[in-house]
Amino acid sequence: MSFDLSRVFDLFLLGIFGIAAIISTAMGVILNYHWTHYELSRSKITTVRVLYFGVSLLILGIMGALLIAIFT
Amino acid sequence: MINLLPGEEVVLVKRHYWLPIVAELFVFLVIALIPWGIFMGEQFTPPTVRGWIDANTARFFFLSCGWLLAIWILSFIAWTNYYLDTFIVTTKRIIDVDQVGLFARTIAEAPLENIQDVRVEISGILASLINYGDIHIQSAGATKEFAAHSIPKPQEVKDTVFRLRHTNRIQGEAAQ
Repeated sequence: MSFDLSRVFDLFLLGIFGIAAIISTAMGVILNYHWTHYELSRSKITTVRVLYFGVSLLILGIMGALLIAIFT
Repeated sequence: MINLLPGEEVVLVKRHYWLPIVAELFVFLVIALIPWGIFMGEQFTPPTVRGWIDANTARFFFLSCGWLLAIWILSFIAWTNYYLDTFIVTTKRIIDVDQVGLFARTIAEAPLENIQDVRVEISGILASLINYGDIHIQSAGATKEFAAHSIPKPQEVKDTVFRLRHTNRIQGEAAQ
């Protein structure tokens, strides 16, 4: 049975992507709770939300595209 | 969210001085740029590392993006902790919100009439030049001392607390 180490590494990268997506979403929910419930003004919440979720999604999108490139 | 009492108004909201959080975010920025520095600085990376990066560019960029995302999240956690750590003076009380971490938050408050002593502490050349320091407020209530560290213009807090306490006392006497 052949054992392809690079394929295992790629699966490890896939795992990292999954963990990154879960952590960034979970942290987004937690941070959003803090921004909404404590002290932040409406306009500031919107700016902070757009910045956090926008950049996080952009980075996750780039990671996803790179992952597709790695697997194909 | 702080629920204000009837007729109560927020007079002053103080946060820690901005320089430490800016320095922290700058450190995060430098750490975030490490993989890109490795990629750009060909002459500084060992040949084995350079060889792996050249052979696995997509994988390297994937890991760099993961690194960037982690730093991005940590930066927001640091900023949120900084931003929500506030010292509030209202027309009726002082509220000290200690945001230690995302899951550690302490709120202490004391009515202005319970305040016995306010002490401002500015120590160091930088603190004196930029005018930031600590403020310690002695209270007669359950929370004996309120302390806000590294806040800009601490003297302003002291003056405001005394002014409001004086105004409240005059209004209280007039009402009697």
